[in-house]
Amino acid sequence: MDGVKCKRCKENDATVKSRKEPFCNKCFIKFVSLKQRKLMMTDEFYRDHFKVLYGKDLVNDGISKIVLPFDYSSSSFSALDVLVSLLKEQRVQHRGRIGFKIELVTIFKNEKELESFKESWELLKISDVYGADVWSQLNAHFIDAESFFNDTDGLEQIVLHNEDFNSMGMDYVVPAESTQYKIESLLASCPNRNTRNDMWIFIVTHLVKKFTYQQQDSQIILWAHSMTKLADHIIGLIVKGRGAQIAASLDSGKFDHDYDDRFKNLYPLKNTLLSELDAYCIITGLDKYIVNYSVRRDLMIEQEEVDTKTNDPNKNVRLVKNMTINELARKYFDDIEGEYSNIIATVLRTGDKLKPPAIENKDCSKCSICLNTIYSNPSEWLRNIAINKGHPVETDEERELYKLWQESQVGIQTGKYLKLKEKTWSEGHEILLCYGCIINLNGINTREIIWPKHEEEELQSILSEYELSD
Amino acid sequence: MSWKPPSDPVNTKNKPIKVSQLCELCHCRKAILKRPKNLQKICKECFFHVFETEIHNTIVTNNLFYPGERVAVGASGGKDSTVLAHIMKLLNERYNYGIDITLLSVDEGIVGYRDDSLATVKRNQKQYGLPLEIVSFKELYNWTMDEIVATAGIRNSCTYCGVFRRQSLDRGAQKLKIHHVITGHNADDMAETVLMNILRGDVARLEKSTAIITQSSGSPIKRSKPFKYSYQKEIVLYAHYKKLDYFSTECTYAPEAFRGTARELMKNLEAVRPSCIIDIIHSGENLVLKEKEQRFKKLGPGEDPLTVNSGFIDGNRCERCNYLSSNKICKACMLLEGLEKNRAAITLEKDSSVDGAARVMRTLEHLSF
Ligand code: SF4
Ligand SMILES: [Zn+2]
Ligand SMILES: [Zn+2]
Ligand SMILES: [Zn+2]
Ligand SMILES: [Zn+2]
Repeated sequence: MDGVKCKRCKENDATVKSRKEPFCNKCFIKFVSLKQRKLMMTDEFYRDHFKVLYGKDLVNDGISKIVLPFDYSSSSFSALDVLVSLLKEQRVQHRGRIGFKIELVTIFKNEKELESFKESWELLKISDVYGADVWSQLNAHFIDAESFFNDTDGLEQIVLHNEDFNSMGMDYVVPAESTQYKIESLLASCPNRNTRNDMWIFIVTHLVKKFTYQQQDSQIILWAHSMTKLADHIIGLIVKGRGAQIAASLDSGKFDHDYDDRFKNLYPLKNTLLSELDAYCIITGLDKYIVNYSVRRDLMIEQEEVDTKTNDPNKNVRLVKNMTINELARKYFDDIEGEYSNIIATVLRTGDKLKPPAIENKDCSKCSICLNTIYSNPSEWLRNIAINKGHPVETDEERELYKLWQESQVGIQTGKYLKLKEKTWSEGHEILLCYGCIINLNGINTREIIWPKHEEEELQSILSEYELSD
Repeated sequence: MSWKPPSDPVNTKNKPIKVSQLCELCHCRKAILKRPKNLQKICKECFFHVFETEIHNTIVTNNLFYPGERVAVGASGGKDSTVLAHIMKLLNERYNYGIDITLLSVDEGIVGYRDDSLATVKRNQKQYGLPLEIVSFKELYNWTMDEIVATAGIRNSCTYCGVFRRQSLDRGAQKLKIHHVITGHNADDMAETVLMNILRGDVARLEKSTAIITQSSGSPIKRSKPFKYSYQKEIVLYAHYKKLDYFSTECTYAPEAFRGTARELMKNLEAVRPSCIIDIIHSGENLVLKEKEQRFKKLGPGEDPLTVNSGFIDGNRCERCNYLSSNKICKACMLLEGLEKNRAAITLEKDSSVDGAARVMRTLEHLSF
């Protein structure tokens, strides 16, 4: 039986089917890279950074530094691969000259994770897929997530008021028995996977941006987020009460104001589906270097029918109750894909049509936890509609029960919180939090969190890197 | 939709209360329910207190009413509007809003649903001692919902029903010379709408989807939703513990398929994050479109940005029925036109696929208002 032909070249057999169209390997690779390249080249600012420049007094010989956050997923690898092919092309067309080089930043959780990243990186290097002249343009950086608490200018303890949703902060001194405050302790205090995930994503994003801030001459972070991931992200923000942040989080036109306008954030994979990036990695053979992620073969036209259901660990059904908000959004997209097409693209298009809301309070303030702009007064909003003050004690029986409660374990726990609150309110300083962070903090048992002080000095405190030995 | 409050505990008298059973708000009474917003275990007194106060705060911060205002409660006999009528009467007396409340019901003509629920409204009228006015689709449009479904099919039932009901409420209010209709739309409805508008890219409705007060420009009737921040589960719990008399059967016509998917997503989200309903509304209140500015820029000389923006000509009326409309013919009249054509075409055949809807068509009559 003859296979389906590729619809683009009409010559080769089709291997991939995406957006209802059959592609051969070559045409599919072209299709995916063109989508990324188009977004890298349409805006003048970005075009000037990627293209080869000629001239005498060029900074760094006209070669710009592109920061590529690299988490060893299919998205990271295909973004890298497309950048590398552009580099190769430039070398040929411009007799050895190139327009940019790539700083890959990887944030690792622990030694074990670092080991698997390193191993994969070494394998890729030995495989020689890219050639020496390309390797010299790639710099891999590994940063320990613990730098989030270590390489800072001090920590503070932020406490949320249980009734009025205001918050205050005090300097935090790590107790003598432990040497440092650890991410583990933070994650352990989170009530669920969702909050843990939120915290983790913030930590990674902040470290990448701080790293870029500290690279003197780097003006672009190229985020390898697929359209699928960005759609999850948009729905996730909506569901977490962070709708106001959508516009800023998708903005690639302005310099990142939260980091002193040092760089812009580019999302050149935002027109590419995650399944397409998976297929790209399978075709190019890059899938063997992927860590902590399993590609889905959904788009592959397989020679022998592989039972994708049993082969695909992603399909392992996690109980809906244990999923994060973003995972639930992804599940929704997966489930209705057949019936209502293009929902993912629609969500992204809608996200792109948004702008930040007007700032209600005169002086623009930032959230002390997630650094996002606070547009309105979330504490006041919550105070009106999520009342946390009960009906007063009335009868003698009730008075007795109340006493019983006060002396109980929960009562004592609450008493401890109330003392901490009292202390923070009399000695601390005012802290402003955004709606999403208030809700997160409110879910934490003790309504407190240890967090780096985000001040000018924090961005200056140099991130220590794990050095790769050659 | 099918969520039921827990049954009341039995045989609990005389057993000593353990500390772990105490309410997490007042710490001095036995907790009997989990607060839907955050799963706090709380007692009945605290629940009534927070539920009522949150609605009062919503009314006050949004300046929903002025003293002396006459207000119509859109009453369907279902739990939302029954609780709304009860709460409005209660808060009006407790906080002296000084408003004058009337119940206003629409009879859509759905056998086995609306006829029974209207009986409930009539009982409510007596229980609360409030005046009641009923307007019906049949009398206004010469169509019942059952006839519409038999003609146009079940798929779009909610579209017809929605358009006609909105207009009917307005007409009913106008008849009573009341300019403010309040409805029992709750936080779940609103959050679901925000999600749905995002998922299908309905930009035109996105910004307005969380407005608590809506009023078409030029319209004398203002609408508002005091339950904007109240969870459906809270409303059910309140009706249950206050032993309110409401009608709990659902309409026989299924909701629109796409809304069904959004509803399912919401259900999953709420299981993971109980606060998500108000979280989504908070997001919805902060969604602002870029285009707006550009639309304003293209104004010609002497053009009023408001009318150009919405395409709405102030005070424009439907040629046929004289109802306020941005187009020459209002949406209801447009739908009616389609229906009339079909009624003529399909003769008097019964559509047996539609449950409870296949009623024998009446004669073709012209509209009379
Ligand atoms: S479900 Fe649809 S048809 Fe039934 S009453 Fe509601 S809007 Fe009308
Ligand atoms: Zn081809
Ligand atoms: Zn925040
Ligand atoms: Zn209580
Ligand atoms: Zn009309």
